[in-house]
Amino acid sequence: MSPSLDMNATGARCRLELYVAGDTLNSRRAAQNLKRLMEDLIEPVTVTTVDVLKEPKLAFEQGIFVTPSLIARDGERMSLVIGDLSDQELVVRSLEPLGLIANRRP
Amino acid sequence: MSGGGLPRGRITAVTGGAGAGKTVFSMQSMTNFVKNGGDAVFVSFEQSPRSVLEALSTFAWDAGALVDEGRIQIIDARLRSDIVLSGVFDIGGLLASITGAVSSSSPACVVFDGIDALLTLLDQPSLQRAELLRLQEYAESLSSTVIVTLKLRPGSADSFEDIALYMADCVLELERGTEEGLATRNLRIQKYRSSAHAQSRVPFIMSDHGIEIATIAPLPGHGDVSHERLLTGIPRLDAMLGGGFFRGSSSLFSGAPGTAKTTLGSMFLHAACEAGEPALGIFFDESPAEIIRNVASVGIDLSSQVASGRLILHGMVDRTAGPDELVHEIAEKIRLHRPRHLLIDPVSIFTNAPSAQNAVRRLIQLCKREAITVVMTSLLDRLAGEGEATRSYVSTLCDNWIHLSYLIQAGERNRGLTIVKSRGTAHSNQVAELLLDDTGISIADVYAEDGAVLMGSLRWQKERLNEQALQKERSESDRVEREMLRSIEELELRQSSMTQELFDRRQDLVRLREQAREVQQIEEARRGAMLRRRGGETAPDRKQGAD
Repeated sequence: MSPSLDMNATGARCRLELYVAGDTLNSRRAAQNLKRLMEDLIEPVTVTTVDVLKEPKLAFEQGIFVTPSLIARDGERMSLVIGDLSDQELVVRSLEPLGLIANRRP
Repeated sequence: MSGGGLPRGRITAVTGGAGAGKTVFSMQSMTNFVKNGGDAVFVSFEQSPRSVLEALSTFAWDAGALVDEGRIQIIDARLRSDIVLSGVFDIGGLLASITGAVSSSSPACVVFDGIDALLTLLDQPSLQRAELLRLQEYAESLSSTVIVTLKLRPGSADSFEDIALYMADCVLELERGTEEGLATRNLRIQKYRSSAHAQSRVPFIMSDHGIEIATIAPLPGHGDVSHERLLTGIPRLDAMLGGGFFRGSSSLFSGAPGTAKTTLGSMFLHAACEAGEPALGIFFDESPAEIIRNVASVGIDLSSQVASGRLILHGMVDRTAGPDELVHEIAEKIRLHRPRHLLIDPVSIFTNAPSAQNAVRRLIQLCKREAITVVMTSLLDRLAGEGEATRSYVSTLCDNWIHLSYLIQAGERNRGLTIVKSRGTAHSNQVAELLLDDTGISIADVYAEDGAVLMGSLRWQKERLNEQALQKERSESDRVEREMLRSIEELELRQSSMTQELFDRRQDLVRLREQAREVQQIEEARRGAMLRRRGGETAPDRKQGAD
């Protein structure tokens, strides 16, 4: 797991929360995929990574039952993606309603 | 039945089609765990927490209070409808959430209701297997009982189910089917690692206590076998039965429609109440009010017995349920009212189903245990041809079997009653005629003549003939006697008159002899006088005189 993923872009409109369960293959793949995705995003976002094994209460409060899960928030609006984010196209599309536009890779 | 209960620290899989009772089963087990101390978590993948709570409160488990106390936690793990699935995932988050949710470190019981909804999102069997393994490890680490409910989709070769069933340590299969339009539910322990368990498929029913498994109690009835005879209310029938039914026995009244099964059954109830004992009548064909009205027409007054509280009539006209459910309802009524006598009219309403045999057997067992004398009526549809054959197993199970029939003779139908069997009783083998009138039921003698049995007006005719013959005989003998007396009198008269005559003759004779002697004396005296006058001898004179 790479804590370096977490970043606090000042003035970021959207916040991404990645929930993972420990340092597993799924967790790493999700983190890598998210990193690649962020490189394509045209506006800066805040990213937080939560390890549900360490913070089970938070996971429960957020209703995380599947790991990895990615929650994207823009104020009240939110979207939830589950899985290791290996299908980038789907993730990008799910972020679009929040106004997060990514540059399409060729 | 499972040989002690569900395994701790293991996974129990409950499988079955939609509506088979999986969720109820898991809820019930969970509540039970909580009542035995310990906490529980109910993870719902399909229902909202509110509907889970409502479902829990439906049953008489006081589960609502347990939820309020926080002993049962309900976790809403439904997937949001707008969720996007991208790549593979695991249920680590789920397990973590549960840890985050519960206050206690190790809940006694964790239920995953409908986990297949989540896991089938994983499209690779190997991943599904991995998640189930994760679940198993989790169960072991918490040493709590994990119950997983899975839907079985009939016909689909779903590898997930196979894996799940393979992984679980205990698999219960719930099944709901229909049998002649009635619901039947069955439970079977498909596997149970390292535990002896019952193998057979057993029926269960849903009640307000949740799932109740209907099994024949393995222990034999502890109730003593009673020798007490109970009167049926019909003296002749008691006599035919060698004194009445035994207490705690079961009896079957079979017959075609209108053969007075219900009336006879009501008589039985009435007699029981008259003896001061509580009785319960279960009616499937008529409502209690109708029964009271109808049997009142033959002089059986049930209404006052109902008013006194001794008799409880329970109508089940509107029920369409499987035999297991009906028997359960009857058993509930028995537990509630604790009758000493029970009438089920007619039992044939639910004995058509093949699965009814065990249900009826259970009912009879229950009655035997509780020393309840039970009478069941059974309808035979076909008037002729079938003879006395009834649902053979019911008649086999019952101790007494009284068959009611029609006999058609000389243009009329008469009711006949036969005691087909009566265990432990020297009973009459005669067909008797059952008479209904406004004073009640009575049984009349029948005339057996040339192998035929006479009933109704033929019997009446025969009775009349006999009466007449008897009268004729009587008057004839009277006449003969009178004649005899008269002739004796006559003879006596004659005798006395003859005695008189005899006496008269004797008198005459005496008189005659006296006269003769007098004549002789006078003659002698005259001859003596002549001799003296002639001076001759007496004797030669007479000789000479004779020549």
